[in-house]
Amino acid sequence: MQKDEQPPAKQPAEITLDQTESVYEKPVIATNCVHEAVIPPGWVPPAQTQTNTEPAKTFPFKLDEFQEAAVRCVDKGESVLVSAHTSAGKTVVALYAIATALRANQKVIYTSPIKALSNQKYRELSEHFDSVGLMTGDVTLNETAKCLVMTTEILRNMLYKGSEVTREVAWVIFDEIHYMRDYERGVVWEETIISLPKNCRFVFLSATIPNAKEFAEWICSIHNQPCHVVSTDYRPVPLQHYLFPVGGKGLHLVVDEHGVFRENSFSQAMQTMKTSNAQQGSGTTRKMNTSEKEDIYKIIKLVMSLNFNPCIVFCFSKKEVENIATTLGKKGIIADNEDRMKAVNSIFDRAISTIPEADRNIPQINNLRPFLVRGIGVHHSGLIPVLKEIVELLFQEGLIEVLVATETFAMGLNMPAKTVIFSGIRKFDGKEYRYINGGEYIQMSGRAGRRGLDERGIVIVVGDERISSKEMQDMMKGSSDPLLSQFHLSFNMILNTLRIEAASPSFIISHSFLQFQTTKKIPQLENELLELEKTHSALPQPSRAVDRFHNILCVHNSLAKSLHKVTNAPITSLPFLQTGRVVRIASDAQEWGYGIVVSFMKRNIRRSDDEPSYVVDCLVAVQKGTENSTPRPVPSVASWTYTPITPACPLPAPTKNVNKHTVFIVVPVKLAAIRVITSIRFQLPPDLNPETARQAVGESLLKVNETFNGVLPELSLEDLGIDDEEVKGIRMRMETLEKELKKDTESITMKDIVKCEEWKKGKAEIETQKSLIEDMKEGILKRELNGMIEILSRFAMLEPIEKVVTAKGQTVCAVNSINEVLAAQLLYTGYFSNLTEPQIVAILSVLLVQERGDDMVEVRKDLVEPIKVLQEEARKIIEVAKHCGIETENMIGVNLSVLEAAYLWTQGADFKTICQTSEAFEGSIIRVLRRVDELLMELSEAAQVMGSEAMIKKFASCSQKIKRGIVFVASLYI
Amino acid sequence: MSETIALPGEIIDETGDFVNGHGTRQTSRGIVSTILGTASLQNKFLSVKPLRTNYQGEVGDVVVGRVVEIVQHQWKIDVHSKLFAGIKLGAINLPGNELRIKDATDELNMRGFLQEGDLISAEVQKVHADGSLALHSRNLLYGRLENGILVKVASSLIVRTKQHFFTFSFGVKSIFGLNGYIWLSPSSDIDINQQLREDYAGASFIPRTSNVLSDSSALPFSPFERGTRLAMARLRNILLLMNSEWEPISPQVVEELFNFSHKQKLEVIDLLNDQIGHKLLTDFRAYRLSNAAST
Repeated sequence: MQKDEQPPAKQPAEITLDQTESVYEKPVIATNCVHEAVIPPGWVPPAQTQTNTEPAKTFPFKLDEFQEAAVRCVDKGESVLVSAHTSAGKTVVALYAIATALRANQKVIYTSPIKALSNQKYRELSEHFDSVGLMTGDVTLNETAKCLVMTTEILRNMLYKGSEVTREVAWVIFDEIHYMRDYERGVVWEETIISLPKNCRFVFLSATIPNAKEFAEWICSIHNQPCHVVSTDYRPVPLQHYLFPVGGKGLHLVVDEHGVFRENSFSQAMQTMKTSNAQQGSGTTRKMNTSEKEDIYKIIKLVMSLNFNPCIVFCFSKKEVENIATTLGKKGIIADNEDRMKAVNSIFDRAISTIPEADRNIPQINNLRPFLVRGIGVHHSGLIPVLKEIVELLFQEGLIEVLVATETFAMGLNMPAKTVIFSGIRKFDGKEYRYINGGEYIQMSGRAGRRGLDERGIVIVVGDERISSKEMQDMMKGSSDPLLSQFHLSFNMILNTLRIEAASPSFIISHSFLQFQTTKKIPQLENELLELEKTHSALPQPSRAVDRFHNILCVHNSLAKSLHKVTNAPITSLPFLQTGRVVRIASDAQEWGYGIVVSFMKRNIRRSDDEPSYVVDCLVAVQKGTENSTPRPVPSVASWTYTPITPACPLPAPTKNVNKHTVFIVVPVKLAAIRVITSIRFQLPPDLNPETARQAVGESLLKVNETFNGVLPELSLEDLGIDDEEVKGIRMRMETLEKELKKDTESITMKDIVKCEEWKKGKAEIETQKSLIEDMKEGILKRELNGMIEILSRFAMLEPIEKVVTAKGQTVCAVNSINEVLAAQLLYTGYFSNLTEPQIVAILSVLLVQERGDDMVEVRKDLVEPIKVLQEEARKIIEVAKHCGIETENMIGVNLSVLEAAYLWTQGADFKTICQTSEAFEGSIIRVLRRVDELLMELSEAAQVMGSEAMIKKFASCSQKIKRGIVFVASLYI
Repeated sequence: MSETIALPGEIIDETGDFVNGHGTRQTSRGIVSTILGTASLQNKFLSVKPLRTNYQGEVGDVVVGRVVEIVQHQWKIDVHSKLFAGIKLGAINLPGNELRIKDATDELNMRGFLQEGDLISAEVQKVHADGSLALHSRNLLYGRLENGILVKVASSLIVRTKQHFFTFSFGVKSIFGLNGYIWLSPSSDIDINQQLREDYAGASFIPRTSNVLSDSSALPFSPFERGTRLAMARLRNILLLMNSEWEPISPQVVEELFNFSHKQKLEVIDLLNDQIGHKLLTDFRAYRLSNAAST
C-alpha cells in the first residue's frame, strides 16, 4: 500500500509514468445501489407462514448495501436479479439463497453456463454446505444432494423430462445470466426459465446490464410473481485506466478512479503515437510485430518495477497469448525465486500425477512448466483442461506474477489481479475485427484490483492510433450491452414439447424473452408507421398514364432480368468476352457505359455451394481524379432499371467534354454487371499499361459510340447461340413492350417515372411495416416454426397431418449435440452399421468441432466414403430446409480438423501422437473428444428407443475406447 | 414408410442392407421377425410392431391406470404393460404446489393421496431399460379419476393424436389412455375435480381429507342426468364394439360412430349384439369411405 502512494524512485530511464495530480488521491468508494421491484398486477403477498427473524446464513463480514438489499428479497421469498460487477460479491446472495432453501428442506439448483464454471462453483459451494452435488455432461457427483450445481443445459433437459428434482426445487440460481446474449446458450436459458414451475423462485446473477428491469418484467409476466432488481456499479476497488500508445514511452492516465475522462492526457498519448509512427515511417499492421511485443514487455517491466503485480494480460487470440508468453519467458522478466519454484513444482507434480504416465510427456505440459516456475502463467481454451486448472490454482495461490490469458479468463470465479493489461483493443468476433465494446471491457477490466489488498486496480490499454477520443470513451466508460434475446427454435425443443400433451412449441415461443421484447417494440413501430404514412400522403399520386407506363416498365425490366440471366450465364457469355470486345457495364447504382474487355478470370470459390464467379477486366472511362482509388469489382445487379428515353450515358464521368474530365483505366467487373455484349471488337495494343495507349483506345471507342449515336449493335440471341423457344419468347415480349413504351416516351418524362417509383416504394414500405406489426402482434417466429415442423414432417419425424411425434422423432428426442434431423437420418439409414469404432468417432468429431478451421485436411482412405455419405445426408437436409424456407447457414457445421486425431485416439494411439496430426490445440482436441462421448451417450439412448441391440453395443464400445487417459482426467476442482 | 404383416420366425429381410429394431432379430439368414405384427420400413430401419400386445410406453404418452400397491415411496400402477408402472412420491405435486423435498412423513401419508384401487391418469416420464414405465403427473390435467367408467381396449388400437383429453359434444369427457384404458365421465362435473384441485392449489392428487387411512372416498359423488348416463353407456359399448371389430380408436372416429349409431336408430343395448354391431361397423366404414370420396 505504501509503495502505491510513493512512486518508486528507480524507474527505468526510458519509461516514465505520466503522473497526474489525482493518481494519489484517496479513492472515494460510493455504493450506489438501486433497488427496484416489478410486481404483477393484483399481487397479494402470501401470508408469512413462519417468521424467520433469524437470517438463514450469517457472514463474517458486514454486507454491502446491495448485498443487504438482495438478501432481504430472498428473505421475503421473492425472486431477485442482482446486477453488479464480478468483484462486487454477488456470490453472497447466492449463498444466502442456498441457505434459505436448505433450511426449508427444499432443493436448490445452481446453474452456470459452462462445465468448467460448474466445476469451480461445485468446489466453492462445497466449502460452505454439506450436501452439494454436481451434474455436468462429463460428471455426475452426489446427485441426490440438496444443492445441485449443474449446467443450464442439463437443467433444461431435466425439465423436459419432468424429472422429480423439478418438483422439489424452490430456488434456482442462474449465474452469469448476461451471457444470455450468446446465440447458443441464450436460448437454453430462456427455455429453462420458461419451463420452470410458476412458484419457483429465482436468483439471477449478472454483470451490469442496462435493461435489468426489462428482464425482471419478463420474469414477472411469465411467472406471475414479483421480481426485484438490485443493481449497482459499485466497485470495491476503484480502477484507474491508463493508455499506453503503441511504440510510445509512457503510460497516460485517461480515466481516473472517479470515472473522469481526461481529454488532455488522451490527446497527448495520441500525439506520441503519431510522432513515433512518423519516425518509423510505416503504418501499423495488425500483425503482432516485434515492436508491439516490445511494448508489452516494456509495460510489464514497468508494472513489475512499480510493484503493480500480479497482473493479467488479455489477448484476443490463443496464438498471441503463446507469443507473448514466450517473449516474456525468454527475457526473464521476473526474478527467480526458490520458494516459488518449489511450491509450483510440488503443485504441478501433484496435479500432473492424475494424468496417466503415458500421456504426461506431451509438449504442452513440458513447455508450460518452465514458465510457471518463473511466475508466468498462460490461460486459454487451447490448453488441456488440467493445465488450465493448474494455472488457475497457482494464480489463486499468488504464485503467478504475470498471467497471459484470453477473454475466457474473465468469466467465472473471481480471480483478481492488481493490474490488467490489454495487449490490444481490437478483436476478431467471427465476422470482423472490431474494437472491443464497453461490456467486454468492463468484464475484463473487472479483474483488476483485489479487494482488501489493493487500494485501486490498474488497467493499462495498449492503444492504436486509429481510435478516436469518443471510441475510447465509449469503450472505457461505455455502459454494458443490454440483454437482447437470442431466442430461436431448435428441433430438439419442438420435438420435446410436441410429444407432451401439456406443452407446445408455441407456448415456449409466446413466453420467450424475445416475444416480450418484441411486443414492447410494437408501439414504437406503430409510430414509425404513422410517420411513414404521413410522408407518403404528401407525395403526389401518379396519374393513370404514368402508372400504366411504370407498370409496363416493371414487367419489361423483370423480363430483361430473366433474359440477362440467360445471356449472362458463363457458358453463353464467356466465349464472346474476348479481348477487345465492347460491352455495356452497369451496376445497380450506376451506369458505366461501354467498356472494352481486356481479360477475364475465374475467382476462387470460397464455399462449395457457391457458383464459380468470374471477374472481367474492362477498360472503361472514369472521372478524372478517381482513377487512383482502389478499383473495386463492379458489383452485380440487384435492381434492374431500364432507361428507355435517353441513350445510355457512357460513364460515371460526365458525358460531355470527355477528354477533359475522363481517363481510361482497367477496372475489374463482375460478370453479372455486364449488361450487353455488342458485336463490336477492337484490336487492342499489346500493352495497356502506358496511359497514352489506354487513352488512344478509349478515344476510338468514343468515336464509335458517336457513329452509332450512342447505341451500339447488340449480339442477337442467334449470335449468342441461344436457340430456346422460351428465351426467344421473352425477347419477343420485350420488343412488344418496348414498342408500347415508345408511344408514351414523349408525354412522360423520366421525372414522372421517378416520382411514380417513389410513391409506389413508399406504399410498399407502409405495407411491409403493417404486416410486420401484424406478425408481431400475432406472435413471433410463426413462419420459422411452420417451416421446421414441415422439415420434421418431410423426414417422417412427425406424422404429416396431426403432427404427432413418430417413432423416428421419438428416437432423437435425447439428441442435443448435433442436428437432430441429421442424427435421425444417420440412425435410420443404418449409417453406423458398417463403420468401425474409429470411423464412428472420427465422423462424429467432424460434427462437433466448434472452432473455425481450414478444410484442407488429408482424409485417410477409409474415411473418404463415410464423409461423402455424411455430406450427402447433410445436403439433403439443407435442401429440404431451403425448400421449407428455413435459414440453412450454420445448420450443419462440418470441420475436419481433428478427424485424424479422433480416429487414432480410438485406435489406441497415445495423446502425443494424435496431437501431431492436427493443427488444433490440445485443449480443443480433448474438448471435442469429450463432446463425442456425450453425443455417443445420446445416440445410444436413441438406439435404445429404436430397439437396436447392435447399435447400442457399438456406441458403448466406441465410448469405452475413447474414455481413457488424459482426455477424461477428472477436474482438479472435484 | 411401408407396412406388411410379419409372422414370428419369418425372414423379413435377406439382403442385409437394413438395420433392425424392436420385434426383430438379426440372424445368419437375415432379419427375422420375432412376433406377429406389422413390419414397417422407414428409411433403412426395419421393425415389427406387435398386433396384440401389452402396452409398451413411450415418453410423453398419456395413460390411465389403477393403483395396485404401495411400495417404498412409490405407487405401483397397472397400465396393462408387462410390468407394473411406478409413480414416485417425488413425481406428484403437493397441495399448495409446495416445492420441497418429500420426507418420511409424506411417505407415511401416501395413502392419503392415492390408495389401492384408485384410478389415475398420468404421463409416461421415462421408459426403464427393462421396459417398465415411470409415470408422473405433470400438471392439473392429470390426477385421480372418479365418477365415471373405465373401458379397456387393446392398446395398439388407440391412435396417437395431439389431444388425448377429449370432451364430446354430448356431455361426456374422456381420456384416451395410450395404454388402451379409456376413461369416460360426465363433462358437467368437469370442475368437481379440477375445482377441488385448484382449491388444493395444484396438488396432483387431492388428499382424502376425512381420514387418510380410511378407504371411504372423500369426494362427493355427484349424480348426473339420465341423458348423460345413456350417452356414456352408448360410448362404452361403441368402444367395446370397436375393440372387438379391431377398428382404430381416436376421439374423432368415436364421435362419428356415436352419431352414426344414433342415425341408425340403434339402442344402446343393441350395440353389444355381435351381428348388429358388425353390420353397424361395416355400414360405418362404407359411409366414411363414401364421405371421404365425396370430399
